[in-house]
Amino acid sequence: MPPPNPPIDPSFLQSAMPLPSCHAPPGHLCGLADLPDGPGQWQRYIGRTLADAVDNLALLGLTAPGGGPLQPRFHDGTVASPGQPAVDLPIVWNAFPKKLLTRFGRDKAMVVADMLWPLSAGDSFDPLSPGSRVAIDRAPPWMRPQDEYCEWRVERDPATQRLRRITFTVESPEYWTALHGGQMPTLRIHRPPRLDPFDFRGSPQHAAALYSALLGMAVAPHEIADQKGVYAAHNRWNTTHGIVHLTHRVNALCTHVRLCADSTVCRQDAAGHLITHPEALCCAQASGDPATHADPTIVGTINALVRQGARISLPDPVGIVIDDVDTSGWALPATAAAAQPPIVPRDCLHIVRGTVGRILRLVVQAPAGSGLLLEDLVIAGEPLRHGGQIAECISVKTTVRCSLAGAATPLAVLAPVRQGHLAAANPGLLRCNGVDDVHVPGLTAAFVARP
Amino acid sequence: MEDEAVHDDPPLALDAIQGIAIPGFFKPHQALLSLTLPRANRRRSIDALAALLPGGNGPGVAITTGAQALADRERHRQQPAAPCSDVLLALALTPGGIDWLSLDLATTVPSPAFQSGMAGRAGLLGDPAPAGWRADGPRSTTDLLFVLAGDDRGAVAHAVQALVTHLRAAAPLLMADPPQFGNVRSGAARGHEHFGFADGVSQPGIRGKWNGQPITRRTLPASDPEHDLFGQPGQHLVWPGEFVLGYPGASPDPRLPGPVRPVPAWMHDGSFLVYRRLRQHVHRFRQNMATEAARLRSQPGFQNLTADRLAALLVGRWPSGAPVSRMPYHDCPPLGESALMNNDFRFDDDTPPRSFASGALPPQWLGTPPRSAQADPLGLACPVGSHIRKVNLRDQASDVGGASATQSRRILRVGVPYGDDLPEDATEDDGKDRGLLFLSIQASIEDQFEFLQARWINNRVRPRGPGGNDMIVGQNAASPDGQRRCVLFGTDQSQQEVVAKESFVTMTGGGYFFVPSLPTLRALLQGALPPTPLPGDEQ
Repeated sequence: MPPPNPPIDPSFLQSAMPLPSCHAPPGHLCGLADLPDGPGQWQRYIGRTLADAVDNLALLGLTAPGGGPLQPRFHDGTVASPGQPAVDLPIVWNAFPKKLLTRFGRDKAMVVADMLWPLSAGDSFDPLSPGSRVAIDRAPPWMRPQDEYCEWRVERDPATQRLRRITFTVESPEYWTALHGGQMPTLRIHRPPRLDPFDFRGSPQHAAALYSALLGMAVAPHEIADQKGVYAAHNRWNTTHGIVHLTHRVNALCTHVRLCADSTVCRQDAAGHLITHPEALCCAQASGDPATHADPTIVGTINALVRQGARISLPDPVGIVIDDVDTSGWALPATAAAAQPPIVPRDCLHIVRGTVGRILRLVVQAPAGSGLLLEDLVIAGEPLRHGGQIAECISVKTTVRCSLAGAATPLAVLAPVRQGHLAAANPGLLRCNGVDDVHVPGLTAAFVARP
Repeated sequence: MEDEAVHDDPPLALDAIQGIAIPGFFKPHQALLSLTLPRANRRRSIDALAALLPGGNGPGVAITTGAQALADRERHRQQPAAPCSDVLLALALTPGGIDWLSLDLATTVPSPAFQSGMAGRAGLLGDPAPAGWRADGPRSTTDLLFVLAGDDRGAVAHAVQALVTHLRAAAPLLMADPPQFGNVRSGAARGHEHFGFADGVSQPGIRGKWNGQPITRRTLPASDPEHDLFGQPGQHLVWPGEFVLGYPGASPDPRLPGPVRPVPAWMHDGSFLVYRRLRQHVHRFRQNMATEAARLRSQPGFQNLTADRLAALLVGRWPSGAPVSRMPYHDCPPLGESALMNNDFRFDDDTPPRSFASGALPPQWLGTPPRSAQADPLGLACPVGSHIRKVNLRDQASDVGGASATQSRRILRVGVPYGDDLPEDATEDDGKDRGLLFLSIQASIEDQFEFLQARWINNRVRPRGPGGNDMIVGQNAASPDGQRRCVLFGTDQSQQEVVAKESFVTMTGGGYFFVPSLPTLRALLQGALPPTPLPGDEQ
């Protein structure tokens, strides 16, 4: 049996700020409301995911400096407040995949980011290399290589190949599984007893209808499921023929919850020094990719708060949103400004789901009837040719709720479970191996103090 | 088990790198001279330019190598009260200037920003329409920019005259704009920009050696676990490829070298120079601080907010340079003047205690443990949107990744103020033009200067929340509603926004330049870098 959660400090429960009564769907979307017990199922799923994340921390065996089990610094915001006063802290990051920038340089990254990659693509996959042919021929399933919890799909005019529309989404596969119905595995690390996956009842017809509404195409239920009727997240309407939700292996709500929870655990290096460098921390814990924009930022921000004594929760609704599109340096032809009313670059942005500051689905296209083409849009002097040019201007956001730093409390710390390395071939790209993994020639251990 | 390579700081070719790039000109008086090169009599102009190379028979001033600038700095360090009459000189080229020397070579520069010029990037930067710029507007024909710098104001002016005379003797010369002169302010304001704050306190250190010695002096004892991360305490040592091309830049681990930027070999040992003529509206700044402080004082948690403290919060430092992180409520000039402590702070964690060699600290600190800077991840003491946090997150992660992402955005600033002072306490506009001749050195205009200005300074949500716009140098035009805002925490940890309806700084001209290495410049002048004769070339 896993050790139980330690009892919650009573003072921790005293809260002037009312606790949210439930976990609403991302962006307060109403799609689940049309399903019997849809919102209730979502509430229970998020509650269980958060509980799993907390349980995982308990399984790490953290003990308080004075002995005894340590109360995790991460908790379900509907169960307990982080303490008072509390602050909701936005954590933002850039939507363009940093790893592609570091691996390929900006010009090539722009090209490969717009492509579909085989779901099986590994860290060294290059879709433009001749050697990638075999993997591509073997595909599908496809995924988008955009691993910053924000993905996009570029649509071109079939006749001219000119850009017609770019659609961005941050919607999670879990939400769409909830709509369709199906099982989501537990987040808890695999120690006995195994927990049953969460079973969403959903409705394939309902999910297909929402697909159809979003894509403007008739989508049948069997087109978004496999032959056994199980929801297929990488179906063609979410890959080759459309975009509805996230497809990258790491882009999931449960991944994000786990990352936030894991980030509340402090780590120390072999010399006994507390690890504080955000990338080093991201390397040291079991979850997160230090080579991304998002993960070191999330990890570093949360852990820094914990080091100051804060407790962390995720305010309702739990999830990731697009915060903003920075249109500085965007320009349209002079005819746009001369139109009545004048057309400005922001008119190319259409929030389809969500609201300003909490966008879930965003379409970028020339305003209807304007006579403009999307390729008329110029960003920082460059004509728009790739979805990545827009992604560079997008800030993705999650929000954490934290108690404000008071007197720092003693920390329990663990040793790293992973080690970061820089490869001689690309010393800008940080990769992680298990601390006990065998040595790979050509790698230099990162974040190790040297004499 | 790892490869245990020792990554020592790389040797830098300071005899090839221009001194303005590394170690940088940090002189109290500067002049900027932008010129259009003649399309006729090219040979004579080339000879006149070649005479400016080190060892040339020029007009008493020659382009300064990094080695010379470093020696000058060391001399100044040892004899600070003995100003030198020598004038340092740098030459930087626009794409037009590069092509004047070698046709179509400029097209090989992998920088869209450099190719289009600053005027072409005004929308991105939030700058006013270039048509109204006083220097280097949209129709600029500037080919090259000379930067002259010295300890003596008269010597700099004399050198400008001698340089112009020298070049005009070779060929009719078109001066793109009148020379711009910048001078440190005098008296107690020396070293302070026009808003009143000490400038250039937190320059990055440079990893690199010349003659086997570190270019940036190290002051932490070897017993300090961070002695290999800082020059002065808090002065991050940045890999040289972030400032000069052909060397390793930053990697995710500050102790390890990162990649070398891919550029043509002729650009190695060269840098990009950004010049911005920034007019400072001092009266507007003072008025806004007074009215906003008065407005906020009516809010719980802000009752004691003064205009001076509001200004310090928005800068992140007090006028002396003392960091708000160390002195949240009032200035401390001895701290501001102490290079051992005025930059030694971080945001995610407390600053560790330091032990300095006997005599290293100024007398007023003797026997007094220096006040430490406490962790401030949320910006309770020093707002996340303060100028110093906007452009240098130190140990914090940002929207572009972990703390190392900040190191690859650092720039070396070598500018000085221009114009007369607005009298202290004056809050009305006297109509005079004053501001800063901002000069920065970087390896990438897009990834460094432009990123800082457009993506962090002007942006309300980046690099971190709860932030806001940079209220000091941010541009209102970049905000959707034309107003800038910054989040402040009160003593009760409530949040309020300070608002500015107008910019305090207006761009009035500038440009993007390439600072070639001296061997490259010599090769260009000798026609040895793919020379293509231009019409009008003398045979």
